[in-house]
This record gives sequence, C-alpha cells and structure tokens, in this order.
Amino acid sequence: MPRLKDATMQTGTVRGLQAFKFSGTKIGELGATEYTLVTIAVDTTGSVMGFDKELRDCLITAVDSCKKSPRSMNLLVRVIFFNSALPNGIDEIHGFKPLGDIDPSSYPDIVPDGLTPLYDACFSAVGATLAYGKQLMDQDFLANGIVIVITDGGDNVSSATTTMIKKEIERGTKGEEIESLIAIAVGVNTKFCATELAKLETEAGMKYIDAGDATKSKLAKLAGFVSQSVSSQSQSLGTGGPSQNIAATI
Amino acid sequence: MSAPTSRGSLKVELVGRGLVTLRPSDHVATGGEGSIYRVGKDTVAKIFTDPKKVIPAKIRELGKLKSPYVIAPKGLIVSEKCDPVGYYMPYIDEAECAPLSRVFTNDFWNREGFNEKFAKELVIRMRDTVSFAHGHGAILVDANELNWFMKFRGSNPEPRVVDVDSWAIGRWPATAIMPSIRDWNAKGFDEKSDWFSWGVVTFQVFTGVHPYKGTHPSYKKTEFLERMKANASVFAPNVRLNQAVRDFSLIPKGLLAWYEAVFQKGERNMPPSNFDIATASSAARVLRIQTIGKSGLLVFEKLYERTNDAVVRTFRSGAALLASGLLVDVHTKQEIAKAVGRECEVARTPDGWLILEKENGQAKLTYAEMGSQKAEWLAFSIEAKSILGYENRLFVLGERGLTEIKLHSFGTKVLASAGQTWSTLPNATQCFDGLGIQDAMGAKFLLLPFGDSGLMHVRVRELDGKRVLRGKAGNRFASVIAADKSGSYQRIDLVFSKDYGTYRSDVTAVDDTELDIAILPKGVNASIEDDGELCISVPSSGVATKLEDKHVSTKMILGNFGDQVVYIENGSLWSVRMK
Repeated sequence: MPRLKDATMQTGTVRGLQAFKFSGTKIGELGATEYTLVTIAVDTTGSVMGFDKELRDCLITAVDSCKKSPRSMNLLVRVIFFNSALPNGIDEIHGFKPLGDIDPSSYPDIVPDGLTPLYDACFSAVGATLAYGKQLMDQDFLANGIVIVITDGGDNVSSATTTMIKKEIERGTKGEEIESLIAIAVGVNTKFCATELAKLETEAGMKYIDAGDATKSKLAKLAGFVSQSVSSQSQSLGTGGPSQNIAATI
Repeated sequence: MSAPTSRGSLKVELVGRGLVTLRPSDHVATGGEGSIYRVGKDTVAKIFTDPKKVIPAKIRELGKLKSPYVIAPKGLIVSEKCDPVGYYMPYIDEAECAPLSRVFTNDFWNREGFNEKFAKELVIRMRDTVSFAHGHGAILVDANELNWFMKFRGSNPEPRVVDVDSWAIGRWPATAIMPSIRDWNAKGFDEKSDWFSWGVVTFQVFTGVHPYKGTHPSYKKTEFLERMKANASVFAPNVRLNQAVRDFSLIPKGLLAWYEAVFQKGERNMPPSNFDIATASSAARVLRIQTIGKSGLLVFEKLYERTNDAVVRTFRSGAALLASGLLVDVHTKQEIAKAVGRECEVARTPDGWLILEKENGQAKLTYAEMGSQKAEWLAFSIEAKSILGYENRLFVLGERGLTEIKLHSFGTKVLASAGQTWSTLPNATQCFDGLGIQDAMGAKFLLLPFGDSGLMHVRVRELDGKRVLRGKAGNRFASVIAADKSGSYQRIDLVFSKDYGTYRSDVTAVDDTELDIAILPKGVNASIEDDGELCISVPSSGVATKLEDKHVSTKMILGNFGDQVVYIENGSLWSVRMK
C-alpha cells in the first residue's frame, strides 16, 4: 500500500488481480513536460539475509546515481519492496516522485522475511507504471517507463502468472498508454534459481540479466547498471534515442 | 589502446603539457567513443576506445577555436609509443554547469531563480556561439541539449558547448546526430541545418517543450520525428500542450516569429539579430496557446502569464491588469501602460487604448497608441467620485452625474472630452462592473449603459431595502449580489427587454458574495457556482446547460473579451470554450 500521502501525491489502482495500489505526484505539481517513470522493485524475502545491507546500499546508490543524469529532472522514481510477509506482498517505499524530492539515505533497512511473490511484484510494478503513465499521457504529457526488479529467487507464492505479466508489458509496448516500456529482471545469487528466473524473459517478456553473486562489487556494478538503464530510457524519450550515425545516403 | 582498468593505470602524454598517469580513480564517464578522465583541476582527457578514430589534424584544427563558450580540444594525447590516443580539453564542473536538458524544466527555473530574462541572455550567447563556429568554418551538426551546458549562479548565464570533436570542419565531416535536432528536410549538414538544431534546443529553453511534441490531432504521441518531417509543429492548429509548458509569450517576439517560420512553415535562415523586433506577419499571431485537460465538452487554453506578475483583472476590451500595475494587450502581449492602482477602466479605440483612472478625486486619462508602447497623458480635468466601464465605453461619476468620456483624433493629436452626462445622485450612486446603482431615498435604480451610446435608468424594486454588494451587467442582463436586513445574501438576476423598458427578475439565496459570471455581448452567460460545473445560459430564453468538467473550479475568476469567455486562475489568464 502507498505509505506516503503528502499533499503533492495522489493514489491509483492497478487494474486486475488484487487491485494493487500505488501513488504518484499529482500531475498539476509536475514541473517538466515529459517523464520517464522508473520503478525499482527489491526482493526482501528471507533469502536476502546476509546481504540485505549491501542490497539497500545498492538501491541507494542506484537512485543517487540517477540524480547525475542530464535528464534527472525528467525522472519520476518509485521504489517498492516485496515479500509475502508484507500486506498484499508489496510495500511501496515511495510512489512516483521527482528525484529532488527523494532522500535515498532515508530508505528503511531491509528486514528479510517471507516467501517470494516475484510475479506479483512484476505485475504490479508494470501495471502501476502503465496506469500512472496513462494519466500523464491523457494530460498531454509524454511518458515512458522502465521497471527493474531485483531478486535472488524464483516465484513461489504469487497470484499473478508470467502470462499476466506478459499481457501487461504488451500493453506498454503499443504506445497507447505509455510511449514505451522496458521491464528488466535482475537476478543475484541465482545459483539455484537461474532457470526459474529465466522464465521472466521467455514467458513474461521481460529482459533478464544475471548479476552474479551478491558481492559488494557486483552489487555496486548493479547500481551502475540500473542508473545507466534509466538514463538511457529517459534519453530515448526526450531525443528519439542517442546520436545516430549519419547514413552515407545523405 | 585500452583504457585504464581497476587493475592498472595508463601513462600518456598531453602534447604541450607533459606526461600524466590516468588512474581508474580519475575516470569520469565512458561513452560510445571512449572514456573521459580528470587531469588536474581544469582539464579532462578523452581517451578513444578505438585509437584509429583519433584524427590529429582535425584535433589541431578544432584547437584553433578560442571561445569561452566552446569546450574545444586543447591538444593531442599520445601513448608512450607516441601513437595518438585522444585529446584533452577544459574541464566543466557540473556543480557549476547544468546540462541544458535540466534548464528546460520548471523545477530548474523555480529552484535556481531562472527566468525569461536569463533565458534570453543565454539563447543570445548560444546564437553567438554557433555564429562563432560558422565564422571559423565549423558546422556543429550534433549540438543537442546534452552537448550544451549552462553556467549559472543566479545571474549572467553562459553556455558551454561540448563534444566539439564531433563537429564538421575542413575536410572532416560529422558522423552522428541526435534524431530530435536533425533537420529531416535538409539533404546535408550546413549552417542552415545548424540553425534549425539551435532552434529546436533554444525553443525548449523558453518553453520546456520540444517544438514537435505536444498532442497533434493527426499524429500519435510517439511520432514526433514524423512531425518534424512534415513541419507539424506546436504552432499547428489544435495542438494540445500540457500544463507544464511555459507560455510562448516568454519568447521575444522577433524570435517567436522566427521559430514559427522555421518549425511550421519550413523556412531555413539565421535567427534574427534582434530578438525583440517582430515581423509584420508575426504581429497578428503572437500566441501559441496552451491547452490542458480536455475532459468532456470544454477546452481550456492559456492566454497569458507572466513570471512573478499575476494577472489580477481583465477588461472586456481585451486588456489585462497585472499585479505590478502593468496593463497588457492580451492578444499581442504588448504592454499598454502602467496603472496607478486597480481602480481603472480600459477601452479600445481604433488606433490604441484609452485608460481611465481615478486619482486624488480626479479622472486621469491616458492614451496609448497601438504598437508604439508609448502612453500619453491626456489633459482632461473632471472630478471623479468613481469610474465605470461598460464594454468599450468609459464613464466618470461626478457632481453633475454620470459622464461619458469621448476621444477625438486630429491627425496625430488625440484629445479627450466630456460627452453626455446622465443625471444621478452622485453621493448615492455606486459604480460596479458595467452598471451603476442609485439609492434615491430608499428606492433603487440601475444605471445601465447599453449599445454604443445609450444609458437607461431602471427602477428595480427587488433591491429596495437591500444593501448592494456586487454587480455586473452586460447586454440586456445584470446580476447583483445584495444583503437583506437579516444579513442573508441574495443574487438578483435581471433580464431586460430589448428597449430596457421592462425586465424579468430571478432572486436566489446564495451563501457568499461571489459573483463569478461572464456576460457575453451575444446574449450568453457563463457562470460557476460549484467546483466541476460550468453553467452556460441564455437569459432571454431561459435555456441553461450545465457542463461537468473536473477542471472547472470556483477559484476561476470569469470575465470576457467580447464573446470569448476568459478567466483568471493562479495568476494566469485562460480562455474556456466548448469543444
């Protein structure tokens, strides 16, 4: 459930399933004409115990790094934790907010607990991005999205399925509710679940990346990957992509 | 050539500066062509991933570009084997220089105190920078918003342009360009295509929106490159822009005309040397209106806003009064004159504007010729207890009664005189918006101007014994808020016959003294009583329609410019119309 309900935020509901809730900055409060909606979903199940502090540091670094992007003022970032011990399996640390309004150092400690509602997390993260993105597009803003789900285990408790995730992602690629959407699953410590996690790519339509062991250096690289992916997706929205080679036909 | 890794450092020579060791800790960023390293306080080194892409002769040629705004190569970097591996250039401190893409946002403007004055200064310097490059035989080609930075510490904004080694100069062509700044209708890259790219970027400095974005009725939102090819810009009719887009009136008029010519009409030429001089063709169409929220049947369009100077009042003649006292012509955005206070009325004449104010018990008249932006005080002496405006007519309430002001032109000379005076009890008459109300020993009369020269006294018994608080009148309609002896408020709506000889009244109990209504000359009213609902009515027939729209708010202060409904909300001036 959304926890931050300051005067500048509004709440919304993801269609279908458990009617997952999310929050986002009121559209009238927004100060740029186009936005990339960024969602970082972090697995906080019992199995992350032992590297939960490093995982939190990774999250903080990733969000801080986004502030260095030339298009940092065109980002709205949402962070959620997921494990089955949380109500509905998901805890929204903050909804879609401008980076300037986010203090990553205040993110709560990760308290490892419960099973892994991985598909629910993916479904709700994509769904919230589409729902909020549509609101922006309806108000003549331009919006695209990127969802990054960091996990160390396969799903074992979700209501959602890979097919449902795939349908949500396909909605995001039609350009009607949002300009474009990238969904990435990042696996850490995947020695025993790599095959299971690969289903997110083969069945759910997400991009899957194996980040290797949950070491400090690997997690630091993961933070860099997150911010670079975010920056790239934002640049794609604002400029039609990076500078392209000039064809010889000109 | 390999860049330094975590396992090692790289020794290179900065030609002209000496040997340095690039360590992993010096690494700043890695891009498509290579990596950037910090060397000392004021220098960075670019080491190419593929050393074959280093063109020493081009680097030397670009090194001749000496401008504080151009981050040009200062010299080659060679390996220990003396092979060229990159070049070095001045360092840009991101703590002092913001990427231009951030300057596009309102968040940046608000946080840094940036405004249209600074935007203009910056854009002029960006123009000078492009001219400087052209003057030295260089074409920037890929000067997109990520390759421009702005140094700004509260004043004196300065541009910085980077990625200079990608410029075309001499026999070396450019190799890449960002799609969003490309002139898709050009066959190559030259000074004209550079000016197009400059236009795309600088337009966003002023407005925050790319000139080919916004919602165009004939294109999908993802098709902005197609729109670039088709010249379907934000200047096209019916393009909707979101509420974060800054008003186009922030753009100097001459430059605005240039933007429209380039983006919408496909013209390709240099931007004007003087941004403030508008061409004749642009004068009639200064405004690109902004639209938000179009739910249901209403369309809202922003007409005017000015940073730190809220619109506080509108006049039916098409003028608006700002908090600073400035009067502006909303259509052309030109300043008309400065009013002493808020008690003023503005009428439009064939060639200018007539401003009537009350100052120290006297009427003060000012004439401002259209387009000249020069206001002239007119010698005209008449006592004024109050002043009154009705459509395009001005009246002064004095000892003799209610006197209409007439304006006469004698060649270039303009004179004001007292016209007809209608008798009234000056100390028992109150002036409101478009009408006067006289209390003749307890009997209430309305003084209702009508047509081009008429004024009618109408006895209104419904107002007897009541204290009139607010009033507004237009063509054959008046609405008055009054308090009865018990202190309860009533709104009395009066619909008059064509000759004003008879009227029909409607009395409604209301909770407050707000009178939020626009009375259009064509006989239609627009009013707001509740949030989310705009009432459109035709008083003569009694027909009324309530249009639900979430954007309608009781905070809107309604008015009209002729038959156009306008409103003030949060200091900005908007219009609202049915789709």
